[in-house]
Amino acid sequence: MDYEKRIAKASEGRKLWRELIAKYKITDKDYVVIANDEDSNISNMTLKFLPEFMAKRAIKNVYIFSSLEFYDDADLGDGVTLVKLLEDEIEAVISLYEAYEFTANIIFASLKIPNGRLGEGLLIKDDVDIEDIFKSIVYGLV
Amino acid sequence: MEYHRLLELRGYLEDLRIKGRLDNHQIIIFGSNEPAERMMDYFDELKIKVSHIIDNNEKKDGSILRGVNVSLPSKTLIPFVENATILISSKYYPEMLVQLANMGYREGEHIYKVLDYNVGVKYSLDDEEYNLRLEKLELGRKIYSDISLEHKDFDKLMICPLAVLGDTYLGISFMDEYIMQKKESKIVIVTHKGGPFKLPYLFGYEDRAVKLDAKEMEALIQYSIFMNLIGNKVIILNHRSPYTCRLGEAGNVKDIHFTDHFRYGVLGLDKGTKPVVPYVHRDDEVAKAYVDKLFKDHGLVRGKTVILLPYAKTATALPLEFWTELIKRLHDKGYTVCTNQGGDGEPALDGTIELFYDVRYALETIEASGAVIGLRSGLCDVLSTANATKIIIYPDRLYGPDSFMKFFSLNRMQLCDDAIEYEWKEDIGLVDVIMKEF
Repeated sequence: MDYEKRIAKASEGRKLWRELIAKYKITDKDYVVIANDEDSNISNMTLKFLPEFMAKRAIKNVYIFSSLEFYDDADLGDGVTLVKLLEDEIEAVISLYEAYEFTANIIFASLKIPNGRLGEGLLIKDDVDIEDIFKSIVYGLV
Repeated sequence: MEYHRLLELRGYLEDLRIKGRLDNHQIIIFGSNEPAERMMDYFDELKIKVSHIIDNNEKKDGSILRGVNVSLPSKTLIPFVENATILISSKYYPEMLVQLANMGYREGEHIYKVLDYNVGVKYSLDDEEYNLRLEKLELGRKIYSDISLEHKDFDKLMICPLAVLGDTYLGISFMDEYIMQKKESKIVIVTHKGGPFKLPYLFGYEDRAVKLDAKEMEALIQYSIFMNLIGNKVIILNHRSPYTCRLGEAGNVKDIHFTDHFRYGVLGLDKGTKPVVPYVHRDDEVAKAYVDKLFKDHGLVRGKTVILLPYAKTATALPLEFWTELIKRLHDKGYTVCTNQGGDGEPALDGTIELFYDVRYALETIEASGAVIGLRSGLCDVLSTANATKIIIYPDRLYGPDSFMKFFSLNRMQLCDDAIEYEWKEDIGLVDVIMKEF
């Protein structure tokens, strides 16, 4: 995607984010989890470690933004709300975040996005598994 | 911690003291981190007692930091402590605030943000901020374009994002291996115009280096993220930058150390890849002439000089009494003692000669002196391969789930295998231990 298209995408993300914040009354004490990795193992870990993350940070409300069917019938846990979006809308939010860190209260449940995300390379280490990496990189849990 | 931030922290505490928020209060520091230790330095100087350190990390619960118990917040703050002054310097301040508010504590009455961790980061979608960010992207776009024109057909831009020596050194020390393993010979190294810009010289990459100021660096990195260039045309040689990477969060998880972050996490190199020892300009005539002049100008004797490194950005300062005693004992043994001069706020210790030297000749300088004794800092990475007595002291604190020393040990990082390394403990008589090497 060229530069101008990315700028337009980020602008869409900005507009959408504002609408969603207003619609769901998301405050600066709440968190948004962008959960759109099609790997079901990643989705499972997203939900598995979410309660620990919320407890550690004393977070009461989390909004999962996703286009995946995986979350439709999943047991999300207390204080977690699913916000279904189109894949294109998720990409717009990611573009906005790649334009700049516009909020501190966002988690990307992925080891691939946003651009610059690292961690998978550490799996070469003996005894290090994907859960070790996911929970530390994504949620900051050690 | 950078000097200006330290001044900011101390200024805030002084302001609280003047306003009477410290007297007759239980001083509780939230977060067992480096700023906490800097706060304790301040309180120690004024002989003000810190009641507790609280931390949400269960692994720290029950530990002791400089004589103060570390516990979970609930253990210290429930039941309600009416006269609590809770000091926070953490990027998680908003969450901590909510956590404390749920226990009945109030910002401005019980809770104080001593240092803003997110300084320079403005979380906003308003027009003014958004347009500023677009301008930054435009600047980044121009810089990327300029570099592309100057270094046609490059394979990778290797960006050293921070004006720090250790991270920059470590990243560049893997360039030979990266080129060999990835078969990408056309690399360009981007460094800050500040201190680290001379480091590519150590590995013979000075002709492939680009220097940027802080604003240009930020813009280039942001543009790289925005255009999804990282991983394709750009590598950021750091474990904590950019904000999207989050690699640093895995430090000390299952023995992951600093070198692992760079060789595996950032560069994706083969298992067991080691950092390269500087060799290109090593011991050349320029270096020899530089060191001869340096020693002559300062009246130093080869093999009878000890260079002290008492300052570090991330490691906690050691007590002045330790250095004073060490200097005295070294003098008694006939050594001349120097304080490495690294910048503002780093005065020479009493009884030592202030010594500034060019980092390109740091190895030859240390080898000529014979010994270096230092608090673990980024300069230690640069000096790690010197053939000299290298005594490195690590603060006794955690890094993630394990010790600071375990994560940053020069030997463990495979930068060398002959560093003499100690973890600071007040009761082990470290001066006596160190003096056995002299």
